[in-house]
Amino acid sequence: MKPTRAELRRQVAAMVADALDRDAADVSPYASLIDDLGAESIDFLDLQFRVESAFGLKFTDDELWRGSFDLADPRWVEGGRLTPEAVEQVRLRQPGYAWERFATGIAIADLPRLLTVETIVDQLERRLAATGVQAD
Amino acid sequence: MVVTGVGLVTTLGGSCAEIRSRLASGEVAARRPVTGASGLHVAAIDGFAARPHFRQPKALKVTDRKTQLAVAAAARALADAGLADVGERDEWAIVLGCSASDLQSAELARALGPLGPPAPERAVDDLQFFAERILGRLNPLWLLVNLPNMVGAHVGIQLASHGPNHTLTGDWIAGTQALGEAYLAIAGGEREVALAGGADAPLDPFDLGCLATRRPLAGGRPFTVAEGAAVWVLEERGHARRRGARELGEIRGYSSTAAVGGDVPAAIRRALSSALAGAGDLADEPASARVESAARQTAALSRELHHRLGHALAASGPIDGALRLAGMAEASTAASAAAGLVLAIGTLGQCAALALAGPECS
Repeated sequence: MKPTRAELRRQVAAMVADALDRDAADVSPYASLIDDLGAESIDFLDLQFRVESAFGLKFTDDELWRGSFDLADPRWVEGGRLTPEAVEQVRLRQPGYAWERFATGIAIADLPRLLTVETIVDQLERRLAATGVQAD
Repeated sequence: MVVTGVGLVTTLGGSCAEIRSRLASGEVAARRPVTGASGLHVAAIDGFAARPHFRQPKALKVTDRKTQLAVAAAARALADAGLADVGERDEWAIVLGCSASDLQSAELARALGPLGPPAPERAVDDLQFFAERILGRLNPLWLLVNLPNMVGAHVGIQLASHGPNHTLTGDWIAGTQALGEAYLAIAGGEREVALAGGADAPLDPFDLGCLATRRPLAGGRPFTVAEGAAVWVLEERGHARRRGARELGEIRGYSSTAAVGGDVPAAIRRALSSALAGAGDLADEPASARVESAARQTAALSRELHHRLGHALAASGPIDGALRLAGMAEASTAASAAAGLVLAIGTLGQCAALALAGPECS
């Protein structure tokens, strides 16, 4: 059965709320897991296990969190920071994110702060599609 | 060294006053038999809510029941000592005792459950198989819940206490040892404030299975195992008096001993002798007679308490001692040596003893 994107978002948001001990109302699709919801490194281990268990998948290393960036591509990264073109791309993908916190640009070290329910759903959708399950 | 606060979480209440009142009215903690283990009962703390005691509630997911009881007892101890709002805690020591981890056996069983023969044999010597088929089924946080130092670590985290932090896992005597070691740290001038005590919540199937295995060694007598935690605030006397703290009493002597060749009575005698030697002026009887008399009296007092509350393993000594302190504080005349003695006996005859004195002796 194909889960809809809305259904994936609902399930992931519930996992995030439970793992981070937050009210469901706090877990908006574009809330930063780190800056807005207080996630720490062990929470990412917990969340990955929950997503894998719920969907019967295994993610390698940081696959779930990496997004679609190719950090070796000079069009994306220059001098340890995202290029203006890359910043524009990530902003388009997450229109509801509080981008004002990155007014002076986005360093590579800042990338975990971009993680949201939507970025998890993006990766989850990709993996489900690759295994033959596509979200409607 | 003085005791300035006590925090309790037990089957008969969360303060010395409440527990003493319920004991005085003849109450016995509710218990239920353990199926398949004749004579073994469990007494749980009904209605305990950990969340209000956690400064960072997200940590609840990486804490087991005994750690949650310890955090609650520590928070109550600080409030009892008038230290709940003191922000500077960098120099405090935290020393807590508990039994070993219960391994969260339900979760472990779920991870192991799907394995059938000959898989278990492979799991023993095939690390990749073990990682994928067993560890891969366990939430990675399982390890964090079950590390042996988590009781002390989480109390320190929730109280924002950055000082020395120790968790003793010496089985049933661990909480009594923790009080003793904290007492030594203060008496020796290393620390001015310490939180010490014990916590246990041994109602998990793994714990109960271990207890059922041990019961025949103890003669198979009826036994009620209970959840519980007790944390004391110990302070250097000058520190306590400078801030005008109420003094509940003091620890005057401590000893921990080990039985050699199975001679448990000798280990008990040595533990009590050394603890009483620290107390010094509590009796005029010849030392050997004093020890024998104190051993009988303290054992009788502890047995009665363990029957009524249930035996909270590592927490039993600190709970027992807290109630003795409260009793001595209430008594108008000087307490007997036995009234202030706490004796804990653990696996293979390891012993720990504390000699307490009420505030009127301070």
